[in-house]
Formats: sequence, structure tokens, C-alpha cells
Amino acid sequence: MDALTRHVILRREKAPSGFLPRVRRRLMLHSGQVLALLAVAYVVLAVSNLGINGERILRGIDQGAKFIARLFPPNFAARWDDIVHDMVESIEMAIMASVIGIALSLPLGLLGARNLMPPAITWPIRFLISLFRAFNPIIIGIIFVKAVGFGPLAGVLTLSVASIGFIGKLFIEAIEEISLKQVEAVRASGAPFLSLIRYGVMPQVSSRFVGFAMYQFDSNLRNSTTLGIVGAGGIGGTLFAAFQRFDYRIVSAIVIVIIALIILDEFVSERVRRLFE
Amino acid sequence: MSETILSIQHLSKSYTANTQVLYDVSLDVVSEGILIVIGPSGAGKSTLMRCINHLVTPTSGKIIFRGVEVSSLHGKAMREVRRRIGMVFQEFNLVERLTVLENMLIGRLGYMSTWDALRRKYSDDDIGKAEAMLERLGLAEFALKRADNLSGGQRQRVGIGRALMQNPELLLADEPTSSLDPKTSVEVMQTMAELARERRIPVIVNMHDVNLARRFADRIVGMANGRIVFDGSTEQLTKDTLAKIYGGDSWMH
Ligand SMILES: Nc1ncnc2c1ncn2[C@@H]1O[C@H](COP(=O)(O)OP(=O)(O)OP(=O)(O)O)[C@@H](O)[C@H]1O
Ligand SMILES: [Mg+2]
Repeated sequence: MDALTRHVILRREKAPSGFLPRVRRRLMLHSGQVLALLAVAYVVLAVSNLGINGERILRGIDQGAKFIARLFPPNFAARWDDIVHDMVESIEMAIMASVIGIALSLPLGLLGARNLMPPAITWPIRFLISLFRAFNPIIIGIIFVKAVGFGPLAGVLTLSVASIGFIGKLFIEAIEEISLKQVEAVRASGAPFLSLIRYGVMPQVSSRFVGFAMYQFDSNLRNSTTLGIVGAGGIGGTLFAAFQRFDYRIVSAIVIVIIALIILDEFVSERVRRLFE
Repeated sequence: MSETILSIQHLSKSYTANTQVLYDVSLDVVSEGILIVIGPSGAGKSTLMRCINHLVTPTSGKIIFRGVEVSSLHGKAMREVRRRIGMVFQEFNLVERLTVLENMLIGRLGYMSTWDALRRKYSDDDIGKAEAMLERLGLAEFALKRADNLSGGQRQRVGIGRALMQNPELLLADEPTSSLDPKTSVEVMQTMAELARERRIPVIVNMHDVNLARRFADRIVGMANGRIVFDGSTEQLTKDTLAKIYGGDSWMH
């Protein structure tokens, strides 16, 4: 609690005396500490409830050490062709889903902005976007694998839905913050509707949109490496298979390739972001 | 001889059911000269102005612009009327992230196809006009600067230029000088008056500065509480009429 709030509470609560008001005042002043204490108490309770105790933790450490030992040295050679093929598939899934997701988020963002559209339009659009955001990509992935079958198509659909859920929402928020004065001026010039959007709205949000889009691509790339676990294409499938065969040296090879990809992506997206600033 | 270019007839406006902002306003505007509307805050000046080009939809009454009843128009026809009426704003309302030149070209959007507008493909003719206009406004060197880099006076010149790029037959200006210092205010008004005179188009200006209004107006309209309470020349604008428009005269001393 900051000093000003504390001061205000102290002043306001000066008058009342008696037990209850004093307790309430103490609670308000120390609300932060009280919350922290409750949180610690909860964690202690939960840990013992889940059977996590000293003995279990030691056993875990022991097993972890053995596991790490079996990861090395990484074996790239054994499944190199599969790794390359699946990595390329992951990247392609991420790119396609980003393009589809961003392309659909743009109109959805415009239609969902309450300062541009009437409630009859914004309400269903916002509901749809919330729905898309409601589930973890793995769950959406399972649904799409059931719906369209195993493989990258399910992955692309999954990541597209996830993209719309996230950047659709961010687009709407950005559009709702624009200055309507600029929009009014373009409207007064007699510009047709799409020209109005292009000149009155887009210049105010485009640089933020690029940032959101890049962020979503990062996120899609990461998720595209896990979706294979549920059969939706990409490197995750090979990784999961290696785990199940206890081929830990292949697991570590795949993990290293994924790490390299993510580092490369960070590097590239930083460049792109700077380009658009 | 001066024909009537704009006729406002029995115009009323309520934003919400039980608060009326304009009461049965009627006003004819002839084809040349500067008409300045004064009146206290909340009198309804901005609302009246925005009803003219239907940025605000009137509740009842007619707006007849060049013989066409604006209220009856929709879509393309409505946009064409907007294109024929230029508008200048108190806070300039430039698209800040675009260049000065592109802000001028926004005045041409009403003439361009959506497809060209989306690709920002302006005709050479339009670009030439925009450059000539910037030259005229003394802003040629700023053409490729972003609009938010300009000073207030320069921005308002861009605002005026943008409106004139529409080739308007009427210019509306809602408190064009209220965000500017006194000297710049006079200069901006001079620019606007000069350009309007050259093009022989009438200007309607909302304004709070009575002295500035006296200096530039050919005709003054006083509004109070959503009604026109004075309509005459600058000579006819006496202390008594000012007291009637603004309510009391204690503020004058
Ligand atoms: N979009 C709107 N929605 C609801 N009420 C509005 C809206 N715009 C204006 N009003 C109200 O209408 C009345 C007239 O406002 P208007 O802006 O037309 O006055 P004005 O004469 O231009 O005032 P000022 O000199 O301060 O600019 C005010 O009471 C205002 O609160
Ligand atoms: Mg106003």
C-alpha cells in the first residue's frame, strides 16, 4: 500500500474507536501482508495434501539426476531427416497460422471495437474471440485432430484459432483507444468507409499491430513445437515418440534444435520490430 | 447578387430523449462572405455545424445545401455532400502519424476510389495540387514531415489546406483559433479569409473571441441555449446584444 493511501485511511479512520473499527483499520492498513500470509499458509497445506514431502523430493532429485545423465551426448544423426522435416513443418505451421490469424483478426478487430460499431455487431464478435481464447491450444488441437484428422492441417487450424483469440482481443483494445477526432476529420472529407478505416483508424494503430503480430508469431512458433504431442503435426510428434521409446539422446538433440530455433526467432523478430518503429 | 447556398430550416436536435440542444433553428447562408457564430459554451454551436454535413444527425428540420435536402441522402450521395463541404477543427484533427503531404491528400479521399485509397495511390494531379497548396500556405518545406512535428499554427494551416483540397463550395470551421495564441489566431483567420475569398466560397466559423469575430465577420450570428438570438452585422453587435447572447454584462468589465 502506498504512502498516500495509508495516509488517507489513517485520517478517515481516526474518529471511530472501539474494538471492531480498530481491527478493520489494521486489516486495511496491512492488507498486503495479510494476503501474503494467507498465500504461504495455502501453499504449505496444498503441498502436504499432494503427498509432496522431504522423502518424495529426494527421490525426485535422484531420478532427475539419472535422467539428465541419460540425455547426453545428444544424438543428432539417428533421426536427422525426421528432425529436419518436422522442424520445417513446425515453422510452416506457425507461419501459415500467423498469416491466417492476423488476416482474420484485422476485420474482426475492427468489427469488435465498440467505438466504431454498434453493440449488435461488437457483442457476437467479442464473444467469438473470447471463446477462441478460452481454451489452451493443446485442447483445441485435440478437437481439430478429431475433426479433420492427424497432421499439420489440424495444427494450422489450432494455431489460427489461438492467434485470433489473442491478437483479435489486442487489436480491439488498440482500436478502442484511438482518437476519434482524426476519424471525424476523414469522415468529413467524404471518404468511403474503407478509406476512412485506412486513413482515420489504421495509422493510429498500425505500429502496435505489427508488435502484436510479431508477438503472436513467436507464440505460434513455440506452440507449433508442442502440438505434435496430440498428433497435430510438427516436431512435437517426433519428440514425444522419442520419449516413449526412452531414446533420451534423441530427445536432447530435438530439444537443442528447438532452442536454436527460438533463439534465431528472437533475433529475427527483434530486427523486424525495430524496422517498423 | 448572392444566392442562398445553404438553408437550415426549423432544425432541432436532442442527443438524448430529455435534453434538447437545438430548438427550431433556421438560417440562410449566401454564397460568399464570413459568417461567425458566437455564443456561450454549450449553446449548441458545434452541434449546429455538425448537423450541416451530417456528422451529427438532426432530430428534425431540414438542411438544404445547393437545393438538395441533405437529410434525405444516404451512402454515396451523402459522402458527396460531405466532400463538397470542407471542415476545419479546433484541435486540427490531423492524422498525426502521416506526413503533412498525405494529410493534405486526405482532402481528396472523397474523389478517390477505395481501391486507390487503400494502396495510397494518388493521382499526379492531386499530388501537384497538394504541393501547390502547401507552397501557398508557406509549408512546402514540411511536406514530408510527420504532422505531429508541426506547431499549432502550422497544423491549423494544414487543416485549412486539407479542407480546401476537397474543392469545397462551403467551408465550416469549428473554433479554428481556440487552440492558438492571439497573433497566430489572427494569421490563421487571415489565411482562411483570403483563400475563401479567392475561391468565392462562404465560410461559417464558430468562435469565442468576440473581438476577433468583429474583425473578420461579414455577418455575426449569436446563439444561446440552442436558439439564434442575434443575426446581424458587426455594427449591430452592441453591448446590449452581447449581454443578451452571453447572459448579463458583468464579464465585460
Ligand atoms: N455527442 C454528444 N452527446 C451528447 N451530448 C452532447 C454531444 N455533443 C454535445 N452535447 C451536448 O450538447 C450541448 C451543446 O454542445 P455543443 O458542443 O454543440 O456546444 P458549443 O456551443 O459548441 O459549446 P463550446 O463553445 O463549448 O464548444 C452541450 O450541453 C453538450 O453537453
Ligand atoms: Mg463547440
